[in-house]
Amino acid sequence: MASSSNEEQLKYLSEAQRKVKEQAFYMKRAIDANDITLTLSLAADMLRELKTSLLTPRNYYELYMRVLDELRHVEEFFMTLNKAGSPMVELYERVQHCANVVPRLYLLIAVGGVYIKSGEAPAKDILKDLIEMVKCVQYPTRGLFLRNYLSQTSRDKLPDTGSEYEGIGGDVTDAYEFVLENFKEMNRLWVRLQHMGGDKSTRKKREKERQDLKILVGTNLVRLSQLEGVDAHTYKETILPNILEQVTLCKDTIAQGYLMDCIIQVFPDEFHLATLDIFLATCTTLKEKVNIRTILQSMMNRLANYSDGNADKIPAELDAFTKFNNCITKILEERSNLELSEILRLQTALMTFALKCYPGRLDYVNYCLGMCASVLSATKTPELDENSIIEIEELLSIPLSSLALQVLELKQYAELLTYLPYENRRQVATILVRSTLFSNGKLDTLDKLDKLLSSITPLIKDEEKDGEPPASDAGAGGASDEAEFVDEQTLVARVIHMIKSDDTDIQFKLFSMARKHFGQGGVKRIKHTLPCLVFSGLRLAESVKAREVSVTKFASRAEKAGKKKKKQEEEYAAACKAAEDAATEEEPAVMPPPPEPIVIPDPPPAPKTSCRKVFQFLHEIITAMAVSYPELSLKLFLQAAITADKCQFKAIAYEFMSQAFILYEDELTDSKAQLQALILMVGTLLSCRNFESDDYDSLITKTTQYAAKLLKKPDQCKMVTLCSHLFYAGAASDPNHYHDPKRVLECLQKALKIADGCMASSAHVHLFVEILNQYLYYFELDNPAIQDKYLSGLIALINEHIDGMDHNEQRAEVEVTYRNTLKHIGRKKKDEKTKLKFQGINTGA
Amino acid sequence: MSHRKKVLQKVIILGDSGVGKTSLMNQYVSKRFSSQYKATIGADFLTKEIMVDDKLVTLQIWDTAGQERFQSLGVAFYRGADACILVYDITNPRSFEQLESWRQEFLVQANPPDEDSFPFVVLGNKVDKESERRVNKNKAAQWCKAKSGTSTPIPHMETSAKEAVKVEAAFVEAAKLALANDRNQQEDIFIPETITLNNTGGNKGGSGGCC
Repeated sequence: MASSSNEEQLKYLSEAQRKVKEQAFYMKRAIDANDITLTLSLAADMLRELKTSLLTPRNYYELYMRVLDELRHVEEFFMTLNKAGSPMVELYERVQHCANVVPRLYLLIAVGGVYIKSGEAPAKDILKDLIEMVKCVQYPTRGLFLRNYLSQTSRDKLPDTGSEYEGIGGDVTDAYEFVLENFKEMNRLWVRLQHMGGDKSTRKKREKERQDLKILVGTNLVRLSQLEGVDAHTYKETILPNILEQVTLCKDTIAQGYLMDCIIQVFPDEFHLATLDIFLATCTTLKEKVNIRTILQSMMNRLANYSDGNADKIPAELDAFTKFNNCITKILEERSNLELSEILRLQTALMTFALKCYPGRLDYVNYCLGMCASVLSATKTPELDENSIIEIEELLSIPLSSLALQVLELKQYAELLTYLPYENRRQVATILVRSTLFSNGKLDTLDKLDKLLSSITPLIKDEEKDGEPPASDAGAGGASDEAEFVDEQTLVARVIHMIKSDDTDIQFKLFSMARKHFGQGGVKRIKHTLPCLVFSGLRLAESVKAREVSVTKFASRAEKAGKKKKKQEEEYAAACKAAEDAATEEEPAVMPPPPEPIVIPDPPPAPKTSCRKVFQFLHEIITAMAVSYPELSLKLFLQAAITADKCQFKAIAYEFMSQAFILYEDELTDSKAQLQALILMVGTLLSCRNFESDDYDSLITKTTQYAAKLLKKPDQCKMVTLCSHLFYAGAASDPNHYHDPKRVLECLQKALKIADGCMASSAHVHLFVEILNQYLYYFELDNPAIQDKYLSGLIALINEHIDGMDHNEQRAEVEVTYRNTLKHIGRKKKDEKTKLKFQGINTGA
Repeated sequence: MSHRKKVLQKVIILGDSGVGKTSLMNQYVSKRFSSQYKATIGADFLTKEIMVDDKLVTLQIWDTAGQERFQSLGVAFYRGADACILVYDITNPRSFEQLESWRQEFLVQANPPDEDSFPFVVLGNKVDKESERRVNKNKAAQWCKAKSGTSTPIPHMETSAKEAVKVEAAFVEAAKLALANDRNQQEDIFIPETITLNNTGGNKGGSGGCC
């Protein structure tokens, strides 16, 4: 059959379709003329086209659909005849005189349908007759389509429960027996097609034809699932055993795989739950080439979707997990040639099932992982195939979305990770960190942190190749490009924020551990990870300090309470004594009531890790980074200085500042970087309030010197101006304030001198105006060194120079600022409160 | 179909797996609903007779498999369709996104004489699960407007096969559109090229003769 080329096929098909159209045309006229004999004869002519064995199944289906569209008119004609009073039994006899078997049977089914509808005979009898008759056609394709027509026509005429044909027409047993019989025969025809002669080259073609035809067989199972009268019990006792019997008996790979899939898809979940045992038992008997994995996976997926996280939907006493597991175990025992990746896939499917149906059962997940670990450790080959690697990655990634950090409690998880190549481990590690972050994971014990960091080593350091140490300067890891690398390391840095212990001592230990791991990351990684650790460390320092302060406060309170208690005891003793002394023989002593006892509570535990130690730890980290990232380290040192100052550690703060200064001197060569660093240094110094006066003095002197040595004159000028504030830090009311009016003046005068040297770039006027504003600021603060005459002089100087400027944007800008400054002075001159102070300033107006 | 006494209209229901095609048909034809999920294999029809504009119409409703692997013989049954009902699930955006590919596939395979005027009806099923809605009603309506080949948008309804919401109305709408479309279409009629002298059926007037 169907050995012709595609072109020939289409030609043949269109010719057959044309003939169908032609016969149908005359047939419909005969119907209009109410001519039964002619209608039957023309219908038979039309149906004769279905006798062909030249068409492929798909093309035959095309033709079949055409013919059926036309046959519908014949069916309607029969209905009309029936309504007009013609008994169907006569017509049923009459069509059997048709000479050709295929047309005869199609017509018989068409009449049979109307016959059942007419109620002239019990449905079950007609159905039995029809199913017997169609046995005549044994050619597979023709037989399958003919039986499909029978199935379609009888669909709404089965004596199913609740159907109008139930009763005299039979019952649901007749209905399903009819469908089962049809299924059995169709399956037989379908399987036989495989063995219809031909050599090896036709085998592939036969397989293709069978794959196309399979839905005709499967449709019978849909029919069975549509029967209202079939409940879970009937399904379990009769329907499924009958289907499975055919599956087993046919011993055909394609049929077994397809029918098992159909069973899973077309019958409802409740039925599957009721019959899991027999279904799984059949699975283990299937032919070697049937892909059992997809069958089991599909059943598990179906039930998992049904359960949808509701543990109660799948009854606990059913123990579905054990049932699937036993089935898998048996398959693994019996099929020794199963590929490793398939074995892993089976376990992954089982684990996914467990995760969805039994959310709380970590032991199930652990069990599946354990199975995989033992299978892997038993494989002799050192190199895993690509599919197995993908499968292990999948296996390890799936539980993460629901379990996140909990996976670290699973014994085999870390072991399985070691089977993966670096790159795949990196992928799993990324998902692990992401899901941990997503689930707001908390790393509060050393064990947890160690397990996590060990599991994500591919994110933390480069791959260690045998014999050679990781390249310390590379550290680019497996990430393919820079952006991905930065994203990945940012993710790793976020791990540090998950370290949250309420006990500062443990928190410190956790940070130390993190540092040990991250320290191995190489130059490129530490840039992203260590700063995060430094900032977290600074927060820890403050918490430790708070703890230390509370211990100290408690000690002084306890001391006071102790004194009070002693005094109270002494007073009480004295009162008792006085009472005794006052007693006479007549009047015995009346003892005073004992006072309310003063309780001295237990002291809070002092932190084992002192704040000082935390700073030392931070000092080490920042110092280690300094070689590669001097600018970054400088900033971190400044940040550390601020925190140390806040914690009242003057010497430590001074040390951090000094380190920053050393970096400035030794490592910062770029003038822009120097400028940026200086601004930060001034800001830091102004934020710190607790330096020893001598220390502060030397720090600000140094800073001012740096400012004066900057490369560009305008930068020098601006920074020296800024440095003037270092000599006037803090309000007068602040006990730690540092005011040196003279040096403020010196700074401003120095700045003026530098500005004067900037005439070439005509930036000087702008600088003058800036300096004027600084003078004004200190003047208003009542800095005694800043006198009105300096302001008057500077204003005169600006007036002189501003006229010489070119008319351009730069000038316009300066003029606006200057004008506003003068307006401000003008207002102060008018204000009653400041009038006196400001009157000496000559604005030249 | 004007020369036939009865009118038969073929309606095809298409849409992704699990959107409720079979349930809609069962609710309409047999007034039954089951929440059990059973996949459909291949294509199957049920018929139902209804009155549309004083005309008795036999609706042949084709329920199809949403999963491609259950359609191994191809889709020859699309041919000759008079209307097509596209179904999506309002709780499943993917099923809505797939409508376009179902529509395209249908037009290519069924090859109706005039694609632009071919009657479609779009149904957003499972409105009983309003709380899980993930497909905006307006968005769907907009799609129906954009995809219509004529000035009137493709009819869009939100249904519930479970609670029998708008199910009847949806099928009646499809039948009405199919009928209206019929009147505007030339029928694909066989015209005999030769006169067959021995064929007694040939002496009854011209082709497509009216009764």
